[in-house]
Amino acid sequence: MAEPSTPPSPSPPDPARVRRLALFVAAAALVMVAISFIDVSIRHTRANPFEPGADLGVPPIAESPWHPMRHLDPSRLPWTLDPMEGWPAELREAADAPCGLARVLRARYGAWLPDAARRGPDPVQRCAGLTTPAARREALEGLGFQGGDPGRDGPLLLRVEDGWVLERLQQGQYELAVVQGRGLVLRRAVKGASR
Amino acid sequence: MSMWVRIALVVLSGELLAEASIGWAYFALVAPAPWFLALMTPGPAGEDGAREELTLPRALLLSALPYAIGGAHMWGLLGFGQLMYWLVVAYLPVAGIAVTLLGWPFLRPGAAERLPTWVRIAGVSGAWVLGHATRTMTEYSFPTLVGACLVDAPPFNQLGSVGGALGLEALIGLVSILLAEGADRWLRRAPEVKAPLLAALATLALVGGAGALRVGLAAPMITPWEPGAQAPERPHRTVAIPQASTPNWLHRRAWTVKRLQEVIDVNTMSQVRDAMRQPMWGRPPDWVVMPESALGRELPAKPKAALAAIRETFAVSPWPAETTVFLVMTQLMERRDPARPRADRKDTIFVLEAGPDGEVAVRDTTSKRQLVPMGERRYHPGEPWRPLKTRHGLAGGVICFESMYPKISASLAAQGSDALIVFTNDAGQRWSDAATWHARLGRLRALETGRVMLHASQAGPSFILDPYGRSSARLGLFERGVIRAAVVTEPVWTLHQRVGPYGAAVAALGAWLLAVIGAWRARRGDAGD
Repeated sequence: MAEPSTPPSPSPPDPARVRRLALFVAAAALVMVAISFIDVSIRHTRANPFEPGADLGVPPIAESPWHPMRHLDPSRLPWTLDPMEGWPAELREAADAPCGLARVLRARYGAWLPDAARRGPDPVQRCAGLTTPAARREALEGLGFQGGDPGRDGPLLLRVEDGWVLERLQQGQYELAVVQGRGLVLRRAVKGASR
Repeated sequence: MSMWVRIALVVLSGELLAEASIGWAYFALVAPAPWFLALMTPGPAGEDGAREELTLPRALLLSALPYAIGGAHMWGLLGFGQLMYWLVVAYLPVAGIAVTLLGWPFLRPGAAERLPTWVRIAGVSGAWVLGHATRTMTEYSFPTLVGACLVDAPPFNQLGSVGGALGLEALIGLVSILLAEGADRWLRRAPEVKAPLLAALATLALVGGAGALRVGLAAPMITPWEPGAQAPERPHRTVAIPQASTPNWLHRRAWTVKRLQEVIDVNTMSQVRDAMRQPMWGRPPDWVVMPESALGRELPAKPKAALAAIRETFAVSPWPAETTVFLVMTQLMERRDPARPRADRKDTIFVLEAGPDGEVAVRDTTSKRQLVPMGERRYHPGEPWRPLKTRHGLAGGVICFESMYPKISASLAAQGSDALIVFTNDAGQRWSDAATWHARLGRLRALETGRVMLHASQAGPSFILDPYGRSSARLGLFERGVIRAAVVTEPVWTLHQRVGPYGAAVAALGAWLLAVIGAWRARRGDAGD
């Protein structure tokens, strides 16, 4: 019976070539790490294309699933959720009329309104001919529109200069508002809201 | 070769794997080469002639590193920080360990002297494919295959129509072991250094050339709609995919503040109604594809109540006779399954078409079956996959990460689907690249099955892909808009669809077994001498 031969010893690598390879690998790894860093810088800081041409949005990685709004970056707000361009033509026209945003609210975001405001007469017609803001506000209150208390649960309708605040979020820091000329936006809370 | 050089080599492999997964896909072709080289090159000869050789346990430790580094890097770049995803990172190295266990007889230092070259090449390439195939076979395996990333590496991606993700893995394994073989010979001053390098180049030229030819001979199958554009002459369907890009925080707030659901619905429905009304080439769209979680609410369990909720939400009357709308919503279940007491809902695709009364009716439904492990415990899996019936033919619908499983799309295509539709919502991954990465891993299904793929994502990216991997209509992350196009839905014959998703794995097993037999015969020959 033949003796099993010992396996041939593998030929060793040339130390000089191993050094050259090690240098090459180190350089390649450094290049790859650099590519990764460039990736991070590009991927995590790119502009929000939610609205073409606008620098709007939220930061890339800060939002946590358990505190979904904690890390909203106020400098990148407002975030347009329902741009006015998407509204029907009659609503876009009505938005500019006196009490027109109240009609928009009724037609598009009815869930925020009290029952009376949802079913009553058309706000634009009711406000026709009324020249002062106080008279219009009174007319709207007569239709069932009302301000809410931000501290309490329930519909929140705060009239501000450029629109209506529907919801205060994150302890009142941010608000969801229907804004003249823009549509539905999330933005930093505007002080001076009145009923 | 010292241990430090070996570690540097596997680190480089990890970096290449990471970048290949989310960045430049071509890196995947050579990613394992440094790793193979780290395992196959003998240690340096000491002064006393003794040599510190690499042992199997050390080789396994080294082999866990590339995927650990690549995985961690990848998830980090994707912007995830949650524990669940780090568990995935911990799980990925299983593939690397499996590859080394299967390939060790052909990779171990000294194998170059003992075994014929073809035996080692076949053994390592086979082990590379089998290692990945075995990791993806169980129900909870997340099929993150590097090979799938090559879908973004034309013309090599055409190999996906032959062997799918595992076929592309075979290309990666073969090219990488040939490169490693060349480098190993160069390091050891062995003869014929150029032969394996030329073989690697020839392989790439062959696969790339065949792929380029396949695409070059194929006529365009997608025509984006724009005024004045020429409609395709071949039979086609017109498709609209609205992308509302509702942010995730709004969805989450809407769970507790019900009025916020209205914002989501208004935001989405204004686009959907627009998509339904806007004619393309003089007629309304055949298919309007709404993505997953496009609406803020859940549907009630009873069919009548669910239909009433759908009618109230759409408020489209009469429903356009020619238009089919695909809607994906969570629907509560009437009765819970005692086997899954926590599951009280299903993620369901509804096919909405005009009923006999001209109002919208539900023509067909299927539910998501492959649920996300841990994340979807409240959902009940649906019935076995089957295509959805529509007025304009059969549509194979998959929800969210079902798109990453080749077996699901293959089954839907085999049952006659004219097109694949992926419904997803990746808004929860925010501005990270997770949505892009998810789409990349799913895109290969179009090549594998030879079907047009409509990828509808709530916050992007949404796109239409033809069976050759070409896309000419897309919306990016958090863009708001509607994709409109005509798509030719003729199936394209593919070998992958013919032999099934594990054809490449079977071929790899054959190559690996041949290599084992070759190694055994070589060993017998040595003993005989």
